[in-house]
Amino acid sequence: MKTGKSRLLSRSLRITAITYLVVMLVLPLLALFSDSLSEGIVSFWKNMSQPVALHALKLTLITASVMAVVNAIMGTITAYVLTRYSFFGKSLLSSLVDIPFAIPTLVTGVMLVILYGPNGVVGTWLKEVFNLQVVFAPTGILLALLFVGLPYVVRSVQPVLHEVDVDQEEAASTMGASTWLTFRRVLFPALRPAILSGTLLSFARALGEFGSVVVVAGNIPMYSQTASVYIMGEIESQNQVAASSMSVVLLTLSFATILFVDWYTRDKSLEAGEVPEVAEV
Amino acid sequence: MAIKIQNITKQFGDFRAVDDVSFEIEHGQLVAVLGPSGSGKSTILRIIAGLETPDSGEVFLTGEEATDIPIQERNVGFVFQHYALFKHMTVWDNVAFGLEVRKVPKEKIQSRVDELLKLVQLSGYSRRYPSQLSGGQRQRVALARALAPEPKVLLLDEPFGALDSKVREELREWLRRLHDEMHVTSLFVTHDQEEALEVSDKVVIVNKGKIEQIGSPQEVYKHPKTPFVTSFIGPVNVVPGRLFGSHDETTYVRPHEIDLTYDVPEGKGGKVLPALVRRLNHVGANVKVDLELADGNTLQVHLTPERLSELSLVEGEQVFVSPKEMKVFTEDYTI
Repeated sequence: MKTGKSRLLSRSLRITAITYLVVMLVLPLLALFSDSLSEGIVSFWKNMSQPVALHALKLTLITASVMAVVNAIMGTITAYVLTRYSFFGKSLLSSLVDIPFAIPTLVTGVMLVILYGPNGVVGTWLKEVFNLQVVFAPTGILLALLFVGLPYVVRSVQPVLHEVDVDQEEAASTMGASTWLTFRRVLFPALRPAILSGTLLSFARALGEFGSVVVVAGNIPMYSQTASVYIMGEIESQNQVAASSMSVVLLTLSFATILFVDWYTRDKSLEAGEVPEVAEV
Repeated sequence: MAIKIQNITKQFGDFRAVDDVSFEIEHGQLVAVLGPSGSGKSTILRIIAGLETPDSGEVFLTGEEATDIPIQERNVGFVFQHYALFKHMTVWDNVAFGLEVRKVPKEKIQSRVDELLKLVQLSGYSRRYPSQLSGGQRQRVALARALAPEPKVLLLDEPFGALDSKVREELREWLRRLHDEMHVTSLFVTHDQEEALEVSDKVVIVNKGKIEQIGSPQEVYKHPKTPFVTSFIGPVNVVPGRLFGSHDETTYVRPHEIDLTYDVPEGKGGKVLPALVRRLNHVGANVKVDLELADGNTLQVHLTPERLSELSLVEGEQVFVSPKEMKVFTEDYTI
């Protein structure tokens, strides 16, 4: 039997937790949605159909998508090499993978400007040889996103690779399967959920990336201004409704992505779950 | 010759896993490579399959030089200790994999997979996933999968190593029957001498990367050529030289090849030792008698229950030990 005291305690615990979640999460979200619609749906639509806003959104989606594709491929290869091969400096390299998580994103931007900027070693060379401007251009945004998103795929694929025995790959090769076929038919099906969730998480992250982009991109409207930088600009010019309209769009996109990843990985983990052993027949 | 390897050597860092190994295996034989763990036996098997490259030496498969042929083209079937089944594929897809890779027509794949699943007695399991099978069933799927593309040779790396002893015994008898039906040249690696002697036509005994002896199970059991083989195959008493021979010799006597008597048997003067009966153990088909020799060394003797009752042996008694058969090796062998 519960005493009145402990019932009171458990109730107040629940109330505390729920209130905390409402105040910290639900309230800001509600405020954002209501503000974006405060001047009506028509105004929301008008804000979003501004060429500058549309271009910023488009640029964000394109750069994030390109980053996601590159990241999926390179992240998988990196994870494969880091788990399947041994070479000098491997453990150091492996721990370096997490650096983008640890570095303040503004610092990331500064590093890229130093390297690729008009006075940077690589930047000068690229400008001279290929007439390619990286910094203060969409390419710079892509570089920044690639840097920030790098750990996601590597870190989600690595543990799965550890689980898949080398045996399976060897078995496939003794049956005549080439390395590529082995990857496609044996390894990839096992890695697919991890690659997809890592990629989508990095995509969601890239949608809202601000710190590194604001330093690298140059933020030229209709050219190199991303959605998050656009929001900052609108806030600074006291155009709060335009800012919140774009915010709602970004929020919906990344929230939907994360919900999908959540649903997808949960579904897969159920499917992959070991079924109890069946008795010998 | 189905398999021939010549002067194979393989080094991992400072460790010489395989040291100048050569042997031949005839068509249709079931051969065991027997040795303790770390003896290099698995490495030899992996070199034959092409999963490992030898530092020097040659591999021949069905008469053709295969040393530089990649794994994919060697056409060997390989069975792994931990099954190595494709977890995301059904039993059927696992067995069909090697055929699909080789672009065998669909109808042929269908009939071949059905045939193989029947052979390994898993016809009703084609739609299951590996995780839904027991260890023994998984290994049978692995065997069917390896046999599906009709390999030149079948290589099995500790195929029963991950199974419990009852399933292990069933499966090895079953493998022998299967082999008698299929006649695929098969080479299997094991550390279990009983398994090797029971199942195979021929045993290759390996120790520290070198071959100790090759022969039929009976040969290696009856006529072991080295101290290692003598002590690795079957129980044996190791008696220091000064008891039966000269100083630099060691005598190996199997427990069941020793007789006990109360008197010194006639004409056996020097080959008899006095000993004290320490303990009688009646578990098993034979009675195990632990003896203590005059110098403190111990000796185990296996007597039939009949012989024991003839002697009416009691713990604490003084007896004479007379070996019926023994092997003597000079001491420069180290085990």
